[in-house]
Amino acid sequence: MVERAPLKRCWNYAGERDVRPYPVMEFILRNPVAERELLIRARVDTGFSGELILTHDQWEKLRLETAVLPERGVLWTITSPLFTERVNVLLTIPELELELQVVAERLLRFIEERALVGRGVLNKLFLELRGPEKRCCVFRGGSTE
Amino acid sequence: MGDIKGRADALMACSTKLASFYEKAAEFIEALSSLDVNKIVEITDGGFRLIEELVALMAQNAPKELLMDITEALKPIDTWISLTKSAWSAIRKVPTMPVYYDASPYAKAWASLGVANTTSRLWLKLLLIASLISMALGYWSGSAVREGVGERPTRIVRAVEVIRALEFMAPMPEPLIISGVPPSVDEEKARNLRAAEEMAEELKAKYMGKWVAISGGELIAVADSFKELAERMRGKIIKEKAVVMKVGEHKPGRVVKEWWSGLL
Repeated sequence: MVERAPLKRCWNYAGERDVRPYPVMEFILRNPVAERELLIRARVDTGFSGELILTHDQWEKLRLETAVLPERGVLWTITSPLFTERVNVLLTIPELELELQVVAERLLRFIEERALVGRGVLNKLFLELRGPEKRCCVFRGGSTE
Repeated sequence: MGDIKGRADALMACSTKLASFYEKAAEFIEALSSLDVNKIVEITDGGFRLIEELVALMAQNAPKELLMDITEALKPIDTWISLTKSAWSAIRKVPTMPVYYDASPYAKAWASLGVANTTSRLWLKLLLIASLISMALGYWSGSAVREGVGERPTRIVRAVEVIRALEFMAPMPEPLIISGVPPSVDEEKARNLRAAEEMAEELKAKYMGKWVAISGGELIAVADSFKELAERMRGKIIKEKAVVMKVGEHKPGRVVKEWWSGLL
């Protein structure tokens, strides 16, 4: 039996001009209802317990109004709760032959300028943060050990 | 001897009442986590009642020579109670306010969070009052043990100073919670959300575990998976708006709670 080598995809950190660079992931997001897809570059945010936050612009481009969930989200922060709209989408990383059905959200009364990928997605992946190299890698098919 | 027993009994009655108040505070925290407005209102009413009874009990039973000493320390309590009470009477009207825009899940959630937020600040105030009373009881108790050889209540006076400073951290809640311009709501979307709520029971009875789509206020497709549903919905979506859900897993009108500490 031939053991399959784990699939791997890495991305360079972003935000060189930010206070400190941060890890990002790229994936294709698909709305099967409107048959739209978009390449998303999202900040890796372990502080967010949900799956995915999108910008208003990305939400419009994917025409996600065609498939909203009938429930609202509320993100508790230290200062105030933030309401969100929720929708099911398909997240794919072709190099990893990975497709996940995830819940994407957008803030209702505030503008978020960056897409975020939270623990809801990160906990399904083998993730490696190679800080000194400023690279974020995702594996599939086995851990790196 | 009898006097000492009477004093101990009165002290015990006050301590028991204070303990009941703290139990009520714990119930409040529990109610907050469920965002159940009725429960939050009912428990806060109970909290108020207990604090008022406690103050009355103390005024009635604290030994006269001590009352002189602790009256000064307890002065802010009456003012705080009356101010907090007027804010509370405004807050407790909110759950019965008519919802003045049409997107029920959002409106309901907004009202519950408004009540949760303001009652939390109100409870902070009540807890500050309770901690003041607790200090006074401690002084009274110490004094009772020493059979009236009490010391000057320096610690109480200091505690009052600290608590007054803390007051900045627990300002009186605004009387009106729902204010400002309500968010604009797309009519077509609101119609689908309403339909999803109205159909919830029927969908549960007929399509438990299935994926369903609602558009134009009507059920337009049913399938076993999200992908299959997407295919079945094509060409049937009215005005580019639809609600999609898995019956039993997604609940119309529900608010899903999450944490975002990344915003800190």
